[in-house]
Amino acid sequence: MNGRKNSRPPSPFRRQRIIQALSLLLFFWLLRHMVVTAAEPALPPDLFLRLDPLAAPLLLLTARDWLPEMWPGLAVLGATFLAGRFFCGYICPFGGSLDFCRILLRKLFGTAATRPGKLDPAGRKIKYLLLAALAGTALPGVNLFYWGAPLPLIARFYALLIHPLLLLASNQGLALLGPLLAGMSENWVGLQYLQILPRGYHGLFFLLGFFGLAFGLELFRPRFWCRYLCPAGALLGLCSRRSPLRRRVQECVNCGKCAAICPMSAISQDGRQTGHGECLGCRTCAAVCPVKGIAFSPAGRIKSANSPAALPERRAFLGAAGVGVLVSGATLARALPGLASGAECLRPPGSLPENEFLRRCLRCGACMKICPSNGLQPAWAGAGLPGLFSPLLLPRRGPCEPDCNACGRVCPSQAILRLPLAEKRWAKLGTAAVKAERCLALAEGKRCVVCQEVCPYGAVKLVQASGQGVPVPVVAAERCFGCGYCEKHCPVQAPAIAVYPAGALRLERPDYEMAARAAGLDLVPVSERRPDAPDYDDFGGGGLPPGFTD
Amino acid sequence: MDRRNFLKWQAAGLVCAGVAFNRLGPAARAIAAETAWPDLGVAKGAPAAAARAAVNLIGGMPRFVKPGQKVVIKPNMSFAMGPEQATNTHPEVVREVLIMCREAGAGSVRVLDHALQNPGLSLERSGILDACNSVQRGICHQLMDGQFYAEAAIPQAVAMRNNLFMKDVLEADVIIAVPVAKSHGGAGVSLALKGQMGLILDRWVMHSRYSLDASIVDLNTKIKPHLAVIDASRVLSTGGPGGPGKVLTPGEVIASADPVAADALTVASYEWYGLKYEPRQVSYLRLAHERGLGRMDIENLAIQRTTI
Repeated sequence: MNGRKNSRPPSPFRRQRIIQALSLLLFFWLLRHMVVTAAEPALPPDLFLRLDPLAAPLLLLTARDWLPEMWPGLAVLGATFLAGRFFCGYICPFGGSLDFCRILLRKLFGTAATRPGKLDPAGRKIKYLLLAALAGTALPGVNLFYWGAPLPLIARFYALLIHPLLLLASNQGLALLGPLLAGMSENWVGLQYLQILPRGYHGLFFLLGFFGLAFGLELFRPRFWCRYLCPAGALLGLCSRRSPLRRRVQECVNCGKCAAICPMSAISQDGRQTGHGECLGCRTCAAVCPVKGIAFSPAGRIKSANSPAALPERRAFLGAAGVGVLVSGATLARALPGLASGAECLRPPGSLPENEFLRRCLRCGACMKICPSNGLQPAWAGAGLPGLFSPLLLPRRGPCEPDCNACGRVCPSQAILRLPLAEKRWAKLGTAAVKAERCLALAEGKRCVVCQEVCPYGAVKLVQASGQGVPVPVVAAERCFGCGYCEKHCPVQAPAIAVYPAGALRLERPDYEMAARAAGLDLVPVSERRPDAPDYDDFGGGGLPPGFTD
Repeated sequence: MDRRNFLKWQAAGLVCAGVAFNRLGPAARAIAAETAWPDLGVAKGAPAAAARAAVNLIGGMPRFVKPGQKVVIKPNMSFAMGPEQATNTHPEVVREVLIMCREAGAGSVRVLDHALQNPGLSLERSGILDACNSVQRGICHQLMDGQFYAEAAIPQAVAMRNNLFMKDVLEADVIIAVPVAKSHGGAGVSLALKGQMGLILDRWVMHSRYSLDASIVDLNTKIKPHLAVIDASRVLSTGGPGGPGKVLTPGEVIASADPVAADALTVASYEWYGLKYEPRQVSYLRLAHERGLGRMDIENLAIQRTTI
């Protein structure tokens, strides 16, 4: 062991790696707690999503409302004015993932694989133009910033792609271990029945492609996404240009080591100039400086000018913003009633009215991660172009559990309202309808009452008309929540009973019970009805009860 | 039956069992057991006590479970609601049957079902998970994953010739059906025979591809319960199987080595939708009887009753 190395205090660069790793671990820990069964962790499970420094300010524009949930993101912005892009260097799990991925890639392909590049202003302008364009779309109230907000993106990657793959691997692993566990003693019998049910999501190939590219580009340049593309990075870059706590050169021998090692290539070749909008404050430069001449402090002896040409020209900015406004116009026109199909889909319970919903939804996937039945899925074409990647309930995959309000609890932008269970119960999603031409009972005269059997609300009645041989299902719309249990379990291949958003309640305020009662709904689950007082009974009139024969 | 008579029957049962075990060969023992006991036992009382008494009336658990055997108990526990709704078996009944199996020296006992509603909530709210855990931890499960099932043929089937069965069930020496007595909009009633649908992975084909009546009988030619203990402590008389419906409280438990007979007696004993029906009016019972799976002619069967 090298004694001298051990006695040295941890370098600032190492400290950055440690903080970054801890932040990433906290992010994973909170994602892990994004399940219904877990006890509420000490921190909100959607904390990182609320930290997004792009989504927070742009949501103010699109939602036209103050969202208290998003203050952490605004706080990040404010702190950046003082301390520069520390968020990108120390906290952002996207950036952390890129850094650790690059370390891995270097191990695989050798250190020469990733070259730092130069302080190349031309390419870096892209992210500022993207920022301008996204701000341009947000101005008239269109939310397209989900394409660039880094935290929802990376959350979606881990929650909807990596987590299901881990589940699948565990599931297969358990199946392999099965024979081994079966041989264990009766004292360990519970182990034989461990079940890890796989989960899956639509649009995984998109995530695979997008993140495959983002991670693969690390081979080309370190933090490719952060330096060229990330609009949140651009916004933080704008905020950090005059930050007092920034890289200052106290002493310089013009060795150029700092410029060569800077992962963001934010230092000029002579080591004296800094692109403050590009610097992540990782302090790698300070660690390699042979004369220890670099400090991150309010004042420096050698004047370190901001590198001049990092920003696009004003007319490019305005042009990009103009393009954004045009795109927003096109999106708004596309979202007119009858063209958009988001309102014709099943949204999670407590979702705002469709337009409000789309203005707010970050596409982070938190609701889909936590949905216990795996029924909430990212829309592909299903919700129309304006609703790309937004959550839809696909009952055939999994119904909406009557005693669950988890999606609203973890929605960082409150596109899905946080409803208490007593209120969520009234947040009707739609109404089930029987397709007579496919129904086993109606079309084929078969004894099938599965829809009635599984309905948690007692909304499917069985009626045995005198002419019919078998009882047939009839949906009582006022009893139907639209949970989709019937659609999930219908034995017909293309389900003969399906939920449509007819009668769905989508309110701006959590006044669901009042609205539902006003609409004459009666949404009490069977488990809570008084058993001895059946309040409807279609059987009667001297015929046989359902299922009995002469 | 009064207390004295009940004690007499129990004493007789013990003596008979003792003689059978000690003196007779296995074949003679089987014949003696089949002939010595009434076909059906009906006990009225608190759920656990009634379950024990009903099984004792027909010979006690040692008649069905021999030391070291693998036992699967199949209750109804696939609805996420409490016992008062009468959609799930009473937890006390399941617990008592489980205890009796262990007293009889079973090598292993499992309490298994395949839930329709949320599996975790169903286990919890039915009270059955807690009841089983109080006896032995880790044996009560909803088997949702395909890895617990294996494809098997049903040789005597007329319609459904194969399905995926729980491996535990295929390997079991003894299957005990412990259903709650409830109406069923499609099949008329859901009792011991119908309840066996919870032991296969794909029950939907029984509705969509085959005739439900024929496939219920097919299923039971393969995994017919060796003992049926029907929990009629509460009867879901209307609105079954999922409710809500009218709940009767006869406070009885019906036990039989013949699940068809147990089902038939249950049908005949209680009101369904406010009226009385004959077993033959449940078409899968009639079919089971015709195909020799068991007897629905309860008027010709020996029924022993007791009240605790």
